[in-house]
Amino acid sequence: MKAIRRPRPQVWFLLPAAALYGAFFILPTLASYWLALYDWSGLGPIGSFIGLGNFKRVFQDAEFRSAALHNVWIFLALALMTNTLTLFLAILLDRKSWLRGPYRAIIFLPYVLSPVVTGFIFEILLSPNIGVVNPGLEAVGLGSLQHEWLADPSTALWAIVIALAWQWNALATVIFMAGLQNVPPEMKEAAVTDGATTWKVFRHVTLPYLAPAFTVVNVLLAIFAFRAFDLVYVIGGAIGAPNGATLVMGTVIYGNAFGKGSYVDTTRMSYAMAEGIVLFLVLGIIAAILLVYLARRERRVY
Amino acid sequence: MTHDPGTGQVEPGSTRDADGMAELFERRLTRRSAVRGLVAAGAAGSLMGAAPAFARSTARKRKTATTITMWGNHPEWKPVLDRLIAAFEKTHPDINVELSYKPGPQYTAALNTALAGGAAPDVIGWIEGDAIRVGAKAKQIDALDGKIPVAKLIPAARAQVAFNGHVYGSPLAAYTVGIFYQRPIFKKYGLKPPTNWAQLMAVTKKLAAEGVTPWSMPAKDMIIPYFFYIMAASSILGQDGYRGLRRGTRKVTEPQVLKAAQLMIDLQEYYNKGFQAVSYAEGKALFAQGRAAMLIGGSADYTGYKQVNPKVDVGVFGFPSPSGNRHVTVTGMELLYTVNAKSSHKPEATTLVAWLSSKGAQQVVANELARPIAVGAVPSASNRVGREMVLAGAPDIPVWYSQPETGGTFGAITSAGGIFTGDLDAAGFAQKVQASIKPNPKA
Amino acid sequence: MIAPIYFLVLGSFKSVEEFFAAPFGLPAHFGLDNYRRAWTEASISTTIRNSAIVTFCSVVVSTVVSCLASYSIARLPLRGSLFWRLLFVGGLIVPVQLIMVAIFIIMRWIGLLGTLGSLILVYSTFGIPLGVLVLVGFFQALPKELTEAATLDGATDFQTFMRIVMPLSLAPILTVVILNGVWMWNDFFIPLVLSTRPNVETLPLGILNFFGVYSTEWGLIFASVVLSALPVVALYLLMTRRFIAGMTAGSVKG
Repeated sequence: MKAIRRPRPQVWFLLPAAALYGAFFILPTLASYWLALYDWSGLGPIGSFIGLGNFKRVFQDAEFRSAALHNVWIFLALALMTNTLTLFLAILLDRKSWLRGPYRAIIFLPYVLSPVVTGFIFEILLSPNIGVVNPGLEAVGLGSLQHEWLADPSTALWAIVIALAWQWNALATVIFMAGLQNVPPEMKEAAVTDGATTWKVFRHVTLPYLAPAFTVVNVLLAIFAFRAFDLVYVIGGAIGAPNGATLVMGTVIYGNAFGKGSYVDTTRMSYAMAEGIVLFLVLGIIAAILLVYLARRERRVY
Repeated sequence: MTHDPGTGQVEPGSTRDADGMAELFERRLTRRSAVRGLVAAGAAGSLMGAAPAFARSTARKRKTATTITMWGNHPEWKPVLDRLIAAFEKTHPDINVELSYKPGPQYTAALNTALAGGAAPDVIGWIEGDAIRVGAKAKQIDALDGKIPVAKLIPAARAQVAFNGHVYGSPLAAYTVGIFYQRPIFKKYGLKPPTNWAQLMAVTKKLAAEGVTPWSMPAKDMIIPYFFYIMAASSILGQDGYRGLRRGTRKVTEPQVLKAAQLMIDLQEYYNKGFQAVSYAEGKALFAQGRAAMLIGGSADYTGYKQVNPKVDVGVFGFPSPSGNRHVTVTGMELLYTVNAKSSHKPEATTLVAWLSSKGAQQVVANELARPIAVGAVPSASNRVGREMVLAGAPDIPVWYSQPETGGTFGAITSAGGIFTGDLDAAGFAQKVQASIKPNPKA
Repeated sequence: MIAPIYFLVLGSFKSVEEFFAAPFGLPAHFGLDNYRRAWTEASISTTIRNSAIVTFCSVVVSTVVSCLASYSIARLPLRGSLFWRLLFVGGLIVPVQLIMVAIFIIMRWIGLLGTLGSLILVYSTFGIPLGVLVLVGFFQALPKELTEAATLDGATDFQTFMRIVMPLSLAPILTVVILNGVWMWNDFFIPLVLSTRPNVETLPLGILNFFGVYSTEWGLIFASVVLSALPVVALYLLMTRRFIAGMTAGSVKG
């Protein structure tokens, strides 16, 4: 009689991942934490040990705070859009099953493009000289709405949000659509036969089953919004044209680590690392809060 | 697959029961071997990726020429530089030069990382200013005393590569910045290059009245505004005044010098639409296409204009002072080339660096690339624009960020975009600039 | 939604004047001139090959490694599993700019600097967090009876893994493959730092350099962009049906 073995995890299964991860992620990350305690500019000798000095300066840095605020705006705007419009779109597409196939293919397309390329495209589309947005507005009679979208500090960030949303939406829609597939049709049918309206069906049947999708989408959204770099860098640069209005934490860190332009600029690598650690903490906390809140909602459903 | 998430029960017919599983198993049997194949391919591919590391070392032993690596930050110079390198390799058949490019804004990132990791190229190009001194102090580059023909270099170049009693290398080219203007546009409206500020305003206003955008002022990375400001301020200060600025006897916050910042603000309505978010490249294209009449430009930009519009017809003039008693251009150095202290091919690298200031190399630079750094190299008659550039500056001032005392001005002005959004007035702007200046009475 | 892509493709056929004169208009002719120049002058043939090799290998390695690790994590008791999950997902949160300098030094130390291998190792490592995120949830949702049956029959853990669990996981694996593959193909920052020699540059880097040279020839640049996006788009369109099925079974389960 064979003894029933309790399923024990094979430790060596973890080994390859842990080895790679340890060597090329944990180690470098620890190294940058260590470097953040010094006063290294990025060029030349490492410099003196200044302990938490860099961190203190980060919290007093107005530029970093402003950039962080921009990240928060991006997150809120995208969250609002994702949890309403995107969801709505996904539901619409889910209904028309014949449309689903081809539409799904096209919908995901924006996410497949590189963010550098996307930023570049949007920058050109919004250009006052060769862009199509301003002439387009004029063509449909909304000429009065024409604007220097990227040159006006109050609209520049929102232009970037739209570009980010264009890419993000693609991913979110697809995830939601997948989540909707997961709703058992029998439950919906049962509710309908019980006399529930479409809205009630949605609220009490569909929505709960979407809870896992919500969690995934919103956590990924937080990461996306706070780590945004490639696209924002292409449109706004490391100085966040105009005048810092399009800075995000990612570009501020890059600017401090590697210089803000092609000419002379003193880099502050250690300081950048300190900023990076703060970004990590901020995002970590937000992601943790989201996860806990959403996971609890998930569990309530099941 | 159907399941009831609440109870974890398994419905018959789903893949979760034994029969269904067997079926699935059969179907997926072939996939399993496919997966194994993929894994093998992946492992092989990874090894293949690593193989070049070994292949390279054996290959080099077979070749008779030594290969040295070098980086450039102007990918648009590739056609000309390829020819230059070919000429060098012809006269030095035992040396092979591998020149790769890192685009301008990313150059510092790539170089600093490479230096930190101890894997910088054999010939290291430094952006002018403080960096080369930091590198020298950190012993990242070797002193090349006696190996570089220093006497051949123009003073501005010498100042960048010779310091603390040693010579460290040579630049390949210099750039001069003046004001480019569209000759056809000026001719059409009977305008001449302005020689003082009154004329400057008049020309600007006349162009605007005729519906032409007077100035292309791409401000996305604040590079053009930087040059505009230092030229305007230098036109007021003159060479002596600039030295005074470095010594601390003059300040940009003086009422006379404040006019420079004020001019930039006053002209704002005459800049191209949406200029604050327009990139340098787009601003150049705008000008080259004739959609703007004037642009602060460097000698190397001319190649770029021709790329956009082969028929472009431009002229150059120096930035006039308010009263017209001088016209200023600013000159800076392109990459300063030095020899990596950790290089295993120092003799070859030194030969290349020394060759950069040779007559042959510099003539090519003068004719086709930018401003030469060797004494006596003058653009040939066919390069009218080049000649105009050389003549436009009386005096010619070193670009501010290349001097240790005013090195911080670039960073200061980069973050002073508020001057265009109304957050900074002329005084505020000047204060920011002044705060970044570190006067040295012995300059 | 598709407007930007539409303008991208349209623009790739235009000349520079056409951009200024008629941003909306159709190009004068649909010649393939821009494409031809983009292909040769942006060294697309070299960089595409490098990107293909690097992305393929990195995806394979990271997926394999993630599958193994996720299976193990899924079987751990709660505290252990949570620890490992958080540890790996932390990789999604740390900004990559910071650690590139350290990675550069490590690569140099092990002698892989300037090779495709260094890129593969780094990408494989950074592909793990997504893999773990998607796969652990999926593995946890698999009923224990499956594996217990196999264990009772005397299979080793590895055999159970390969013959039973893997075949069932094709869908979420595909999700991970696509999500990782897309960002690995499009990433430019890591090759920017690690590709010290031009022959190991990847496609995004080649395109970025190309931007630098022909910064104002937008038609040419658009053409190069379209060329660089074609492989991924093509692959994606081919795999799209499978992918959607994968999303259904995998990531949604959290």
